[in-house]
Amino acid sequence: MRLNAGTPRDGIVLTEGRLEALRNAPPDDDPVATAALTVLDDPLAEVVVEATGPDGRRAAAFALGAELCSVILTRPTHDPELAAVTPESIPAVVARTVGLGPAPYVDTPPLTVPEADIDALAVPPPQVSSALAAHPVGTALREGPWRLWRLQAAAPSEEGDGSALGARLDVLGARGYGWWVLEESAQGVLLSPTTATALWRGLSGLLG
Amino acid sequence: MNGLVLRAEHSLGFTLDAPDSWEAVHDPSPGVALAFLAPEAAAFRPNVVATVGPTTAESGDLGAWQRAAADGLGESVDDFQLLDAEVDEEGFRQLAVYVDAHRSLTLEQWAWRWQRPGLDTLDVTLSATVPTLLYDTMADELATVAASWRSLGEAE
Repeated sequence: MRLNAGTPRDGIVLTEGRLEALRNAPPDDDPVATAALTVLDDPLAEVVVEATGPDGRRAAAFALGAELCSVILTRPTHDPELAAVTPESIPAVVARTVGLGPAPYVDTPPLTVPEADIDALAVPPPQVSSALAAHPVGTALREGPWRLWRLQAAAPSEEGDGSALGARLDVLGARGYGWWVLEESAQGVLLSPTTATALWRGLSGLLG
Repeated sequence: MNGLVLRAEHSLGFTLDAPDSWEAVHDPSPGVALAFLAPEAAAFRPNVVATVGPTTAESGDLGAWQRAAADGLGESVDDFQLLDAEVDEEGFRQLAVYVDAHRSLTLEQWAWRWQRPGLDTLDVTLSATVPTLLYDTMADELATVAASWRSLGEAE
């Protein structure tokens, strides 16, 4: 295994029992793999992003260390893969996982839909509610390589009481069609238009 | 007033402003008119580079120019990902991430055709490069630097 900047490469495919075998391997067999496993078992913080779309579910689960970040990548029809990346590569790996890319800012008023409408997109086969279909996001859901992505970051609080500090970012949209941030409200889930640049700012500031 | 106090004036006939703590380097390499270097942060000097040259056929179609610029970057740097792009009647802006020397860097570019008063038309590209984890904190400052471009003699 090697430590990557940017795209994870030369990962280890986690077939059944592979992770346990790695843990039992002599540490000098593969120093990067050993470091990746150490971080995986005792991370400074964790970031998980899950993206669903018409072609299935993808995920990237990061365990952060000071110099190295372990990431387990999950893709449709593939076994999970463990790789090592530099911590500053996390935003780029997230962007690739969720398909972040150029899209127009769709300047329409925010829309509130029941939480069930969003959940129905995350479970295969995705179901598009009438409220979403009638909204500009509906065009992305009908025609585009849409993604619903949910990102959560957590780090132990300095209080030492087992509590955690967290951040969350939920997004729906598609490259070429538009992006909407999802926020929970008392009435349901609020969809607010945003830009890829604003989302990238959020990702780049995630570890700040 | 844009809050920037370092003003670099270039012989091509433009000025560009940056924060006082930055350094201006004139004509650092062929085709590059001006480079602003910020103080080192995360073992990298964030920078804004102004490239000015003759107009090309591509720049006559701003959408095609943006796509060609992105394609060119994709072929010349590692792990290039285009994150955002917008084209308007003046030019384009694009945002990308790539890897150089084992660093994840975020690149923001603004490009337009510059009609020099009483002279010719030139293609201008401002390229801002920062370590990716610093982009959020520096994005507003970079945009302010880019927006400070003035033709000499143009009123503020």
